[in-house]
Amino acid sequence: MSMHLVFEKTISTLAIAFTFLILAACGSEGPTDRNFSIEFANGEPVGGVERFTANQGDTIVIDLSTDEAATFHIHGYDIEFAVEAGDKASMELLADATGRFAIEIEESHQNVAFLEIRP
Amino acid sequence: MNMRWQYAAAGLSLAITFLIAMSSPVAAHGFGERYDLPFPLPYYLGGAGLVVALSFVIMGMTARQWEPDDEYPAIAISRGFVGSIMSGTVMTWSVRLIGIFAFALVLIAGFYGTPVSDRNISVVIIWVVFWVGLAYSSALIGNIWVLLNPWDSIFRIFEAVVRLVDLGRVIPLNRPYPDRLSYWPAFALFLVFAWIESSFSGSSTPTTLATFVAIYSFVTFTGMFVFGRQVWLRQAEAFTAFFSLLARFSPTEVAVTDRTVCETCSSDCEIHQDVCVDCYECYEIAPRETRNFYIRPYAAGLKTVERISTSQMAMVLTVLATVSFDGFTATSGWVGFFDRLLPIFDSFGSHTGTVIHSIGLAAMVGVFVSVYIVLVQFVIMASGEELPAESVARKFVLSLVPIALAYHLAHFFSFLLIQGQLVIPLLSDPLGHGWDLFGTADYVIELTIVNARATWLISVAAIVIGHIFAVYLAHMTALKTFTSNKAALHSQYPMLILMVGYTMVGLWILAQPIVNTE
Repeated sequence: MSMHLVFEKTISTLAIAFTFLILAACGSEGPTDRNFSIEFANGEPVGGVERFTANQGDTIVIDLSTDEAATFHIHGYDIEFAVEAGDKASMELLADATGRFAIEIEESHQNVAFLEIRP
Repeated sequence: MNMRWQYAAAGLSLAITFLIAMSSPVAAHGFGERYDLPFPLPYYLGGAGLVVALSFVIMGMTARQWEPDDEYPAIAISRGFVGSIMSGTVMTWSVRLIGIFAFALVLIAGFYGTPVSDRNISVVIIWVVFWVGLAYSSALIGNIWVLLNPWDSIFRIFEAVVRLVDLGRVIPLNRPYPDRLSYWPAFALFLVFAWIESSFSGSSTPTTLATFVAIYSFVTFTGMFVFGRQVWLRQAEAFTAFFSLLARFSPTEVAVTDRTVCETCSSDCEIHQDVCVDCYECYEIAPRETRNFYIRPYAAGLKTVERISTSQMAMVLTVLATVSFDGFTATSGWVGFFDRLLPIFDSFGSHTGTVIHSIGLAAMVGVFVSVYIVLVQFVIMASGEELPAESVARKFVLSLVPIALAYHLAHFFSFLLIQGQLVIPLLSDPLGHGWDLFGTADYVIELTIVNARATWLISVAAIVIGHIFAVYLAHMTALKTFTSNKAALHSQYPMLILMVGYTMVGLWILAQPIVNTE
């Protein structure tokens, strides 16, 4: 019976240790400004579907250009930007939430890029 | 008359399902989106390393002659004020009414609410509150489904009304439940639900969901009417079987401490040391002094493996497979499989995705079952003792549950915290008609509620801890199954390989970049 108690105590200690690890999961580098660009032409993102990486707390500017009228939508953050055909525009956001967010053309439900915000 | 009911029900369900399947699936925009970042390599390797290292630690500890032990420490919290409130009729029926209300809401919102999936509360109730939230609660707190089950509550009301009006002829038929059927209906119905969740493309469409709920209600009420409420619930109702299985891991239990009561109540509950645990039928009819509510260690409920039938074992393996399949379909490994099958099944048009997913799910279940059966052979061979494979297979299957549970919880952690927030605006506007009952209809989901690093740590912790529980349970089972401690120890080498492998699969899935298959 005592072996079981030892075992169960070990598990509880591990669980507590992990909890402390989680609580200590803070701290990052200073926030920086990042600039990305998406060029949409002939129904496709030029250069393929890219993965933009940034850190939590960064200020991100995404330059958009398209040859046809399109609404760019960042999922999760839920930011939408309509751009006229042949026009250029910029989306700006503060990357306060971590995760992997798809950037889509609303009209065609097409993924044009992914935005990865790391902790 | 029995058979005609069953055929009619089956025919009706098939017809409606076919009709739904043939209708064009509505693209669900917004609901169920995941923003998870895959594990970075250090977490993956760290988790894997811990899993292997701790497994060996446990092997070493067991080698020092542990005695198999079905006892576990349990703290009674049923005495006094708290206890009497918790088991009182007011408390239990308040929870029952919540279950009935949620059920009614799903049907009403499903049939009369907006078809936009993230503006309709029925979608969130089923896929977030029910499938994920209730799974979490069942595993981490206790078997609250026995109170929330709307079919149980509604049928009880029906029985009470019938008794009041005293229509002698209309009482439930109470035909004897055929022994051969065992848990197979629950297994089959759960498999259908798992298919809807992972493969069916219309699973986020409110009207489709409401229709499935209506069909399932018809099947369940019919079953309870023909065979008796408790008999049907325990063996044939898919969600009672599913949540009760998860709740075996939980740290709470109810117990009747009088052996004679346990023996006289209608269901065949297991009796250990003059106490029957988690036997809800006995608990309800037992006198107040013999009813107890206990806190116990996690996974204690998975220790007692006296009577697991083959169909129950099939159910457990199916739960394991379906829980893993959901995550697997987001990996690049799946995409390769999908792309290879695409040209073969092109002729199904817009339903090609559903067909390939269905094949994948069936294959996953098949793989789990076959690997397990083969492994049991190795376990027996390694032990050096002659035991029938089927009985050994049944005894060990519950020890795999913590691994599946840990993966399920890790996989859905951020989903629950993010998509779960949809409940807030939806409570004010459940049907998506522009209402604002509680002033929260404009609530926007707060993404920052969950930080990726916390999710990674919790996921790794859950998976490592789940694995430890699994190895521990398997060792306890081996000590009870084989006659010598040496045979038990040797039998665990193959089991350990299986468990480490299974845990690694879970870690691997979590470390994969999530691939969209549009």
